Parts: sequence; C-alpha cells; structure tokens
Amino acid sequence: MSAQLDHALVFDRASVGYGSRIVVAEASFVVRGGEFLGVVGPNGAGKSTLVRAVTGGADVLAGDITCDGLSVVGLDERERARRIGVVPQALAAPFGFTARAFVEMGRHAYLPRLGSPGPEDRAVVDEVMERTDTARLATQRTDELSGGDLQRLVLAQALAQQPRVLLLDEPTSHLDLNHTLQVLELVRALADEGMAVVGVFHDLGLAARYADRIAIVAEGHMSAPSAPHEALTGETIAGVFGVRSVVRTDPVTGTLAVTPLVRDEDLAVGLTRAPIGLVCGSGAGAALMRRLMRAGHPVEAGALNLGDVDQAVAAALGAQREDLPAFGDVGAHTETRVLAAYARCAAVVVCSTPFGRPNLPNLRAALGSGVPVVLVGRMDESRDFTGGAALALWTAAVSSGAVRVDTEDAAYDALRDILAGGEDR
Amino acid sequence: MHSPSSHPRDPRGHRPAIVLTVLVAALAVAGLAGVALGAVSIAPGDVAAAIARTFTGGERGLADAVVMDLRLPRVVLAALVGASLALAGALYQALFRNALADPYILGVSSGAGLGATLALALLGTSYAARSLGVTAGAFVGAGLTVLVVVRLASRAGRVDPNSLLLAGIAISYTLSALTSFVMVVDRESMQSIVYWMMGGLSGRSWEHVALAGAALTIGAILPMLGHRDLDLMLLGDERAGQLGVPVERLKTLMLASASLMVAGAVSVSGLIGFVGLMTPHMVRLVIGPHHRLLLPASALAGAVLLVVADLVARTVLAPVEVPVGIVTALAGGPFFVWLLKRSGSSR
Amino acid sequence: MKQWMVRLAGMAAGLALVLGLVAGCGGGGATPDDAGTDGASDVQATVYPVTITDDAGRAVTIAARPERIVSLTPGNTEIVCALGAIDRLVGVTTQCDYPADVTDITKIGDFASPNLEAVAAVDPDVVFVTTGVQADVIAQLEALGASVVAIDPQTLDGLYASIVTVGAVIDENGAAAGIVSSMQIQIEDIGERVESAPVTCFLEIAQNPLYTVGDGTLLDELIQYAGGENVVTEPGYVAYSVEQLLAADPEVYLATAGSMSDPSDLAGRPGYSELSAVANSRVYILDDNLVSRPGPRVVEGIRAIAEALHPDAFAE
Repeated sequence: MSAQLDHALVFDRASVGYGSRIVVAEASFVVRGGEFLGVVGPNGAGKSTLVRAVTGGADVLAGDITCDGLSVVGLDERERARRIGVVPQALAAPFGFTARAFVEMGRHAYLPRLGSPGPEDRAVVDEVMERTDTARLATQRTDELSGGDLQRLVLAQALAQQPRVLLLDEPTSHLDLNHTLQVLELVRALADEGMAVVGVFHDLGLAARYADRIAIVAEGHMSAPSAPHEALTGETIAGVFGVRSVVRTDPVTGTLAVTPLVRDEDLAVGLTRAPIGLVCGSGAGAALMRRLMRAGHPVEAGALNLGDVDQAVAAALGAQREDLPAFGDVGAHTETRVLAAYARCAAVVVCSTPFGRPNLPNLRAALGSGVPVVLVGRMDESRDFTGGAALALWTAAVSSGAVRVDTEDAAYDALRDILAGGEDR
Repeated sequence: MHSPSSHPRDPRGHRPAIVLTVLVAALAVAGLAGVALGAVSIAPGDVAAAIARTFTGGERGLADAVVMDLRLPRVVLAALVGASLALAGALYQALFRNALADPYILGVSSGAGLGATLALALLGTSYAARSLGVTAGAFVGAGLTVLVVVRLASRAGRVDPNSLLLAGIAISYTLSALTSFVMVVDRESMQSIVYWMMGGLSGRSWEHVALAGAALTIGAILPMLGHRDLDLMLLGDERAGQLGVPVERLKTLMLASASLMVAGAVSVSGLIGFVGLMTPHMVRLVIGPHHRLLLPASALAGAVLLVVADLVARTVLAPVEVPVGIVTALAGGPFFVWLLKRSGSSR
Repeated sequence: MKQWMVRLAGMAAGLALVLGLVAGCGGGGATPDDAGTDGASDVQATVYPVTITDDAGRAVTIAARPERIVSLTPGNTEIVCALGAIDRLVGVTTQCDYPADVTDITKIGDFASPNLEAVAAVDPDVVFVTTGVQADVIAQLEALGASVVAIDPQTLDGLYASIVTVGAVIDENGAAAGIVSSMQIQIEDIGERVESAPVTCFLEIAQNPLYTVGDGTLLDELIQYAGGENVVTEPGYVAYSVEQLLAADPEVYLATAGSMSDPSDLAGRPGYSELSAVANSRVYILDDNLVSRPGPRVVEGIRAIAEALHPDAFAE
C-alpha cells in the first residue's frame, strides 16, 4: 500500500502565524484518510492558528501544507474548498437565510459560474442534513436557531463540500451533553468511513475518547502525534497546562480520563507547614490529601499499591509515599520505613479505608508512630477484613486518646485543633 | 416575514418571477407617467403622437420638444440613475456586511463634488462646457477618490471594511474642504455647484443618458454574475474563503463595479441621496437576502423610485423645479423613522 | 401707455424729495449751490447735519460734508462717480470697474465679504452699502465711526430716489437732479422708439438650473421700459422649468453674459431647438454691468434690451 497516496493532510515543517510573527514553529504531522487527529493545548497556544493556516486564515511562513500531495498554500479557493472543510468555533448566523439555503452554500465550490444547484447538489444537501439531524430545521431561519442547532448546521455546510479533510475548531464548546455526543459520534463515524479529520479540543477526555492520535500544541511548538495514553500523561499535562491531574483509563469507556486535581499556582505556596500523615487507600484519602497539600502541609501517604486511586492522587500531587506493586503486600521493611515517616509528622489521620491483610501494616505503623491520631468513621465488619486485627488496633488507639471523627472534612478541623494546641515536630 | 414554500425544487416558490414582473410593470407605469405629466399639460393623444413621430418623421411641435427632448431623456436617466444607485447600495451593503451602507460611503460624493466644482470654475459658460464638462469632472473626481480611498485602506493586499470606512471619511472631509475653498475663490460657480450637489435631472441630454447607461451596464455585469459569492460574503470574509470564494479578488471587483455605477450616476445627476440606501433595504425586507433576486429587484425598484421622485420634483411646484435630491431626502427621513420603530418593536 | 405716467410720477417724486430735504433741514440758511449741472436750476446745497432715510429704512444723520467716501457696491460706485465725487472716493470693491479711473482707488475687499480692516484703514466719513448680503456689516462699520447708508433700489423709481439720496448725503444735489432727469429723458426717448407692441421675451440669469427674473425685480422693469413683455409672471428670481419656457415660446431670448457666452450654444441644450427665438436667431447676450447694477447706466441697459427686442427701431 502506497503511504503517500493516503496522506490526506500533511504539515511539512510548517511554521504558521500572522504577518511575520510565528505562532507555531515547524509543525510536522500526517493525517491519513480514516484518521482522527486530536489537537490539544493551552489557550492561545496556536491550535486555531494551525487550523486556520490550512485555509488561508493564517499565514504559512515556512514549510508547506499539502492535501493529497497538492500544496494548499496559495491554492485556488475553489479547489481548496473541494478538498478541505472547516467547522469553525463560532459562526454568526447570516440574516434572512433558511437553514437549507445555508447548507447549500457549502456546494458553492462545485457550482458552475452561471448555474444553479442541480439534482446532485440537492441530494448532497439532503444527505448531509439527514446525517447531522438538521433536516427538520430546513425551512427555519438561521438567525432563529439555537447555538447547538447552528453548530450542527455549520457542520452540515462543511460536509456539503464533500471534503477530503475535515477540520474542526472546538466544535462542541457551545454544545450541551446530548449534542456534544451527537456531533462527535458523527465525526467519528465520518473518520471511520475514510475522511481525514483534525479536531481541536479543550476537553482532554473527549479528545482521548474520539481521536486516534493526539498532538499537543504549547509554547510555539507542536508535539508529534501519538496515541492518547502516550500523549496525555500526568507529567505532560502538568508540564503543558500547569495542572496536577490523575490520568486513568475510564472503566466505563475504556478510554483515557483526565481528572484535574490542583493548579501549580495553588500549590506554589510551598509546603512549609507541618507534615501530616495519612493512612489511606481506595480513594478515601484523596480529598483530604489535596486539601492538606493546598494548605501547605506536606503529606506522608504510607504504602500504596499502583492502580489504587489514592496512589495516583499522591503521585500526581507529589506526596511522600511508598509505592507497592498492584496487589502487593506491605512488607516488614516497608512497614519500618512507613513508621519512621509517620513519626516525622505532626499528626496522622486514619481515613475511612477498608483494611485487609495487605495494607494493615499502614495502620499499625501509624498507631505505633507515637504522634497524635485522628480516626475517621467506625471500624466494623464493613471495613475490617483482617479478622479483627484492625478492630483491635483501633480500639487501642481510641483508648489511648485518639480523636475520632465522622468524615475526612471533620478530620481536617480536628487536625487544626491538634496543630494549634500541640507542639510542631 | 414570509417563509418560503418547502418545495424541494425551488424553496422560494414562484416569488422571484412575481416580484420582478410587478417591478417591471411599475417601472413601465412610472415611465409613462413621467413622460405624460409635467409642468406643461399635454394630452395623452399628443404624447403618443409625438412618440410616434420619432419613428415616422413629421413636423415637430411643442409636444415633440417637450416629450422627446425634455421628458423622455429625463425619465430614462432617472431610471438609469435610480437603478445604478440602488444596485451600488446593495453591493456596498453586502461588502460591508452592513445594511446601512450607502453608495457614497467611500467619499465618492465629495470627490464628484470637487471634480464638478473645478470643471465649473475652469471651463467657460458654454452649454457644452457647463453640462458635459461638469459631468466629466464629476466622473473623474469620483473615480480618483475611490482609488485613493481603497489604496489608503489596503494593507498587504487585503482591504477591510473598517479601514475603508475610515479612509472614506477622512478623504470626504478633505475634499469637501477643498470644494468649499474653490467655491469661495470663484464665487460665481457657487450657486451652480450648490444646486448641482442637491441632485437634479433637469437640462440633461441624451449624452448623459449614454454615459449613465454605459456605467450601469458595465458595472452590473460582475455583480449579477457573482450573486452567489455575494451571498457567501455575508458569512464573513474568512468563512466565505473557506467555502471557495476568492474573497480579495471579489471585493476588488465588486468595489470597482459599484464605484463605476455610482460615479456614472453622480456625474450626471449630482448627489441624490437615500435611493441607494433605502431601496436595497426595503427590497431585502420584502424578498429576502439572496442576491440573485435582490440585485435585479433593487435595480428595478431604484429606477421606479427615482422616476416617481423626479416626476414629483418637477410638478409639485411647477413651473419651479425642486431638486430631486430634496424629494428623496424628504421621503428618506420618515422611512428611517419607520425602520427605527419597526426594529424596536419586533423581536 | 402707462410709461409717461410713470415718468411723471418719477419726476414729481424726485423733486418732492429734494424740496423736502431742503425744507426739512431747519435752522441754517441756504447756501448757494456749487458748479451747477444741466437742469439744476433751483437745487440747493445740503445743509449739515442732515438726516436721511436709507433703503433699509434707517434714519441716518450725516454730521458734516463727507470728504472720504467708501462704496461697497459697484452700483454705488458708479452713482458717486456720476455725481462728480470721484476725488472724494477713497475705497471701492474689487468688482468696481466703471469709470476706468476707479481701478486706481484702494480696494477694500469684494462685494460679498468686504474687508473691515481695509475699510477702517481708509478712514471713511460715509460708507455706501447695500442690504441683503451686506446687512450684517452695517453695525460693524458704524463702530468704525463712519455713517453707513444702505442703497438698494428694487425699482426704477427707487433708483431715482437712491441717486437723489446719495446726492443729498455728499452734497451733490444738483448733479443728482441732473442725472435723474437725464435718465428720464433718455428712457422716454427709448420708449418713443419702441411704441410698437411689446415683444415677448425671456431673460436668463443662470443656465443650470435655469434662473430668470420675474415680476417686481429691477430687471423686469427694465424689460418693460425697453418695450418688452416678460413671459415670466411669477414674482422675484425664479428657477424656471424648460417645459414652461417651451410653452411660453418668447420671441426673444436674452441672457446675461455671466450665464451664457455664445448664443449659438442655446441650440445645443435639450429641447431648446424648438424655441422660436432659437429658430429665428433672436438670441442676445447682455452686459451684466449694464442691466444688473443699480446705477445711472441702467439706461444703457434698457437701450441694449430695446435694441435686442426692436432692432428695426434702432436700425439707423
């Protein structure tokens, strides 16, 4: 199979910008027919500029952009419109045109100078309006449509161009949940049918879910496209967006889900306050961990298994912890280290984590560390899978004066009291 | 607002044919009235006989002079000028994406005024000099002004509407000042120029008709051919380009066409206001924004409007003639008040 | 028919005005008049201070015999010179060109906007202005210390009265009376020559738009004295419709030189070829300065119009 023929859209070291100002330098990538490339990046990075450069809305200052081998820079507008369709971010509805007339404008590049739309053109318009669920709007005026309807209509207009390449600039920013899915499912289907699609996204999860590959535009450069799980890692996202987040595979969709936790700026306060230990796991400590670190307390998270939510959060936030393999036990050496770590803290909070034999040592280490303890919730059969050992430790801690609260939020308040009263270590 | 029929073949039904037929009929009626009525009353039979005599020959009398030498060229000229202004107005409204753009928006009026003033001041008092010289001067003035304004507003080969507006205003002020200066220096020309600027169709000859006709014919070709491109331009320059419209080339050609028509109109008739602004606006409200119908309908409506306005101008205070620009302005004021009320109450 | 009546009334009015001035002086005896002019037998010199009523209805008092006179209109300049006071004339407008000697006199601006500083610089005792466009400057001129007299006759009789007034102001009453009677005699002579029926005519004063003079204007009256009948009956200065002109079809077509330069031009204008005047080549151009300036030379203007209207009467 000749790869060249299928190069629907190629950026060949293309530097794009306006006038003499380069916005994105030397972007290089290939989008083949049937591929959906997602482009993400911070605001103002130049994602839109890249898209606009393909149709002349921005300047190509170096390199080349080609469609099926034909350079689109300086290409005759009519020829270009037959190959490349664009769905811009926001299009104002023109006064007085019906929806159907609006979509029919997409056929402009195919209509002869002196002719009218023929049966074939009408058929195309009918079909794209069916596919975009806009056929029922045909006789309504565009300036009376809702934002969602108008966005789909614009997509229909672009599809009426029967393009080889479809460029979408944040196509679902104005859409509700329902219409977002509708549009993206349709675009995905079009890609599957052979269209080359490039979509600019703000929502990383949507990008990861619908795009085959993802490229990141930031600080004047574009990364090479790669699979979502390779392109969107915690480190990359933190580096590009300045947000600590947890990136996991969403069990529901099977695609990447990005959960933003905290902005660097909010953490930049500096972790200068008293360290707090957390005994956590299974997501019980995530909120408290985030809250403490935002407030400036370094957190000791104990020993956590890879794959555990709290481990991911701790990793994302940069909290101190011992990483264990998934399903691994807390060994003796680990327990010693964890105990020592807890001992360095001003207080320890035992979150409402269930305990089993593997992670019981965390609890033991915390209670044995000698620092003030705050217990969250109750210890009963729903949490104790250690055959009573956890309950025993718990009871002992209570009688030693551990503070017991109902929720992690209450624990935060209790910590404040402890820190205010006690001496910092 | 009427909603078009949902017939898949022609969404607008038979409306285009009806509208155009009505307008053509209206123009015929207005034209006949214009030729039959005037300061001197001539029996319809005599009017018809006079028209017949142009073909059959025969001794000419008062009716022939009045009908063929005075009224007919005047009515034809009114139709041509009205059509030119309305068509140019529709074009400017498309290019500027603003339904309040009028044909004088690029300072054409002040350029024509200066050209006419200079011609009047420098040429003699012979009829040819006065009449045709002023026309030539106004035409050249108008043309040069548009070139200067477009040049000023161009940046890296692109022309944007805002720059055009600003350049037009700047040039307008400058040229108006120069015109006033010339009028002060050459006092005798002042009355003629002031009157000319009020817009009038009296004393025009078949030469004027030829000029206006040529300007309209040449100027109307490209817009009529490019009606779809004009529709797409309403989506914005960038979007139109994405859909295949050669935007910059189109703007240049349409501007040139519109300016040719306006220059032709202004040079023969002075500054007749409101026709270029009101007509496409009114027509658009009735038949919608598709230029395929809007352009010819505007032209026809403009022709009818001006023929009627001229008839009023020369009969309401007969034998004194009111400048036709005053009649159109008097009609224009209430029109805008009505527009204001309408837009305030609807939606 | 009525011309001789008008003439008589004119003479009577002129005489009455002069007698009235002299009688109204009060105090101070009559002084022998200076170098008499023809027909100025018992006109006396002005006794100062004298109060006259000008054409703006203002009562103006002239304190002493003016030695420094400024005229702001060509018509008034001609009147003052005709009265023999050119050596007392110290300021004229740029449009003043008759008699030839006035070109040496200091120019103080033009008719439509006189330069007040220049006027002040020549230090006038009296300034002759017109009403209308010059009405605004009257107050400013008085502030310079000069007496301001507005002269703006609308009729021939008014012109006679104006000449007499000017004569009273500058103490040239004899000359004034002489001029008036001379004018009347000449006009009467012209009138006798054109005793045949009045010839219909039209007078164009502007080409495009077509402007003409109607009832009540000085030009209209000149036409009547010249044996003409103006086809335009509307009052004042009129923007005229060519259609109406064609319907009226005057025998003679007149135009001022400022409006038309070449009579053959007329045939080229749309519709004009049907006019009898054009077909018979009865198109004449008049000197603006003779017909449009209210001054003694209107007589020449009347004569020019009469020659155009009744060429046979002046064939010798």
